[in-house]
Amino acid sequence: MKGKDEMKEKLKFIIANCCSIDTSAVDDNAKVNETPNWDSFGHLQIMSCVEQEFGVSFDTRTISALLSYKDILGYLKENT
Amino acid sequence: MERNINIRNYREEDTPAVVGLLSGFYDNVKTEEDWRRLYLDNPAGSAVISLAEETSGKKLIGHYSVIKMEMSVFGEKRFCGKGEGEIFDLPFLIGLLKRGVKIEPSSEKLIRHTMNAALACGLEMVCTNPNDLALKSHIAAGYDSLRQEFSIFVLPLKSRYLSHVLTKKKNLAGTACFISSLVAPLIHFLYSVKVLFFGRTGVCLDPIGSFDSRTDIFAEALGKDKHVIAIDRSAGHLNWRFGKEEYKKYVIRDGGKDIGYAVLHVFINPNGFKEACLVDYLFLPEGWGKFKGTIVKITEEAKKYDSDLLRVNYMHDRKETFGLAGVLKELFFTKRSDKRNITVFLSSQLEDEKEKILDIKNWFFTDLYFEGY
Repeated sequence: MKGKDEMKEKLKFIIANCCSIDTSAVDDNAKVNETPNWDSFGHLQIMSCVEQEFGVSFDTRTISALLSYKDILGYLKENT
Repeated sequence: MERNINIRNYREEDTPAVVGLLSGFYDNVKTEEDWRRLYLDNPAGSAVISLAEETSGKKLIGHYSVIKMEMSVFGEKRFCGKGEGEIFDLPFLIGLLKRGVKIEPSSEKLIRHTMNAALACGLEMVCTNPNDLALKSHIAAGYDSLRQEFSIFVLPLKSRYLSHVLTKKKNLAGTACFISSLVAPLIHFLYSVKVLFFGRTGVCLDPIGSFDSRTDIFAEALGKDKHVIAIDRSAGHLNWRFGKEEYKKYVIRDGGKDIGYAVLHVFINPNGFKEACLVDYLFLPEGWGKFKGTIVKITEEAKKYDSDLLRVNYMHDRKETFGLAGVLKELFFTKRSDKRNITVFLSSQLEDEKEKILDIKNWFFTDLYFEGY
């Protein structure tokens, strides 16, 4: 349980950091175009940090499909 | 360290790199032949293609294009296009970011460059359906948002598909197989009763190998309609779009008269099910009342191809097509709401019509807008 909570916290921190917003502004419904600064460039930065932090590697199709906090978290749960 | 990105027009020698870039994303562009068919061998002319290139390594990292097509806009033929294939080599860009290389956002620039080239070619309107990631850059580059919501209507034709649908519902996961084995025959029984008592019509489907002057009469009738915006459905365009064997083409007949056409796409979907999707249909103005009879016949065709499901994506009821969604519900199709961004870029020639063009009710939408690219 701790591992999953840690994953959630880390992911929220990454999103907040890449979008230059406070972590408290990243809730479970955070997504591209709705969370401040989470645009196509912000998305690249998020995916780059997620790759580094969680040791995963995304292809173009996956990067284009994981467009929300929930999508990314679901992917990480299945692939890490 | 900083890397510059150069935006420029496509050149013939870029072809292998372009195909390499697109094939990582699109299932229908796996070979140069696929790409040439879609982007160059179009009866309306070759696509307007722009590329983003990372200057130091001369590496192709981005692509955007406008595929040319004629459209009828309130009774007049207009030279238009479909924005397509905004693709970036995202793993490569992520690699640069990881190495601390500064890169500039270039998506909006790439789209702007393409739209300027499209305008220079005389295109008057371009519509596209960007994903959420690409939506902002399209709007920033001058597109207007038209609509997002549409409905997916599905008729399960086999219990294994129904079981798959029920498995996705958490509270039914354990009993999905059992429930679907009961529900699927029930749906088929109810459907058969409905068709037996209410669905008997004189409608029949005449399979055709390609579109020709016989189907052009439907396109001409639509093109004359002064209240509608629609893709020009001339035989040349439809044969280009639906040339592959997986597209089953029919002329719809009623009482010995041709009243419309329908195109059924039969394919294996990403979940491994054989899907039949009604991707395009058109009736003469007096033929819309035969939609129900047509769906009954289309269902028979889908079964003939051993399909697991029949799908119809439906945008909205226009005055002329009022009630089609109701017909699908009546025939036990289940409805699910979905979202697809639709955006429109207008040249100055159509600026006066902007308000009417941005009213979704004036558009005749089927999957012809999205299918095959």
